[in-house]
Amino acid sequence: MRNLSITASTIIGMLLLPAIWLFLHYYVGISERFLPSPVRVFGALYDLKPSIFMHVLYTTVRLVIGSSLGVTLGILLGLLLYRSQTLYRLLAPSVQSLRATPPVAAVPFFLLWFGFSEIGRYVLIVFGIGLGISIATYQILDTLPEKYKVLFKSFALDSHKHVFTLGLPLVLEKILPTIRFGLATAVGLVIVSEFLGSQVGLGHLIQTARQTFALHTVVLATILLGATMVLLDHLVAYLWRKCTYWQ
Amino acid sequence: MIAIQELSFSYGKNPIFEGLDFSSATRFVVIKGPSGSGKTTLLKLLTGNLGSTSANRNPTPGFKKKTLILQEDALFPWMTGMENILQMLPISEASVKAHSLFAYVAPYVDRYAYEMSYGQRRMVELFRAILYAPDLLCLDEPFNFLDPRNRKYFLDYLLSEDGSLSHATIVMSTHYTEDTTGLALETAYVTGEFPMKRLLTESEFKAYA
Repeated sequence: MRNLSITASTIIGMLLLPAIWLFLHYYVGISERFLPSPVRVFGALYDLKPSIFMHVLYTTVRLVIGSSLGVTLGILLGLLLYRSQTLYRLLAPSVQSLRATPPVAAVPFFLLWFGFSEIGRYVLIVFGIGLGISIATYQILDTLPEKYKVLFKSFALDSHKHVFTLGLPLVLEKILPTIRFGLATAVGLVIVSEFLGSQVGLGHLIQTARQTFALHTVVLATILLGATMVLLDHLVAYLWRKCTYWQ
Repeated sequence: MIAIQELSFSYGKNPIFEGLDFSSATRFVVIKGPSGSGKTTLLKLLTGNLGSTSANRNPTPGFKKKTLILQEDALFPWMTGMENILQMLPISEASVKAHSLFAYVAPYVDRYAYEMSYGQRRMVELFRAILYAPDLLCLDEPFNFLDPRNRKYFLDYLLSEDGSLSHATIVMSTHYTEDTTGLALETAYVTGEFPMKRLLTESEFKAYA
């Protein structure tokens, strides 16, 4: 009975926004100019060239590759900063100040340095999410649970020298919220980079649809972007559970 | 075998110990007292995990290797029991297996720590501390989650004059009074009335209570 109630409320939750959309359009009668009808929006699935799935595929691949690189390099940098206090003192001020730079504001620089290449997009995402993840990684290690601090002291060991064997699993235990937040940032960066320099992708689709006032296409691209984000978030959570098998 | 000199400590503005002196000629001291009376704080101070605020920063001079086992186990859950031992100690797996106490942990030492029961994890931790053979071994409620048989095995080994800890001084807090009754050790009491300047003997604690 409880499972049925959970399933029912989940389905209701998923249908809530579409239901409000249908209500506003067909019952309240909001004009097509302000809120396209569901029929028009999903009709665009078949009208677009290249097909909408190509746009989704390009955006998704960019997100997956860029985010994977950003998370991996971010964690690696954080581990290295903890491993070497000298390195931390040298790099931490720069990392902190660069992290404060809004990644979206840095997009024009990446376009200048890398042009419209895919490499530039990946570097942008690494910059946008990697620095925050590196600081989070360092912070997790710097605030070790007391029992582990006592453990290292009791056996005359330095926790800084065991970052890869002992520190990395501790980081993985706690880094999931930061990765999920980073993924949301990465979506914004991919879309903005596609606004400015791409011939394919959901960001490019939104940009061209905006210029031609094809609101139904903008709504469609937004819905697909949201769905892609949900799926990627679930994938991240699944992979995290596999990596932290002991939890 | 242990001499605590001028131990002082406060949590913020709350003094816990003030110039506490204690000495014992035995190598095994049991600390008893009600919950929240400062037993864990005392063990942390003895092993340098908390810093004494008195001029004498090292209340236990003369001990080079100091090990503290807390109530909460500190095994890394993603490693097996054996990996947890080898990660912390500069010894070989063969040396671990050659130890007389290995038989007590052998049935589960190759399991991941997260797969072990609390009692099994505690056994592996105690075994690891024994293998390390520190000069001062402080144990905070070490026998929680252990059944009477395993408590007896470890207590007998800790008290033994032949094992790897025969040179060590052991300070232990425990609620298992029945385990320590009649044994060749000294019992000292903390009252929880702060700041504490000395530890009480059993008769003093009974009169106080």
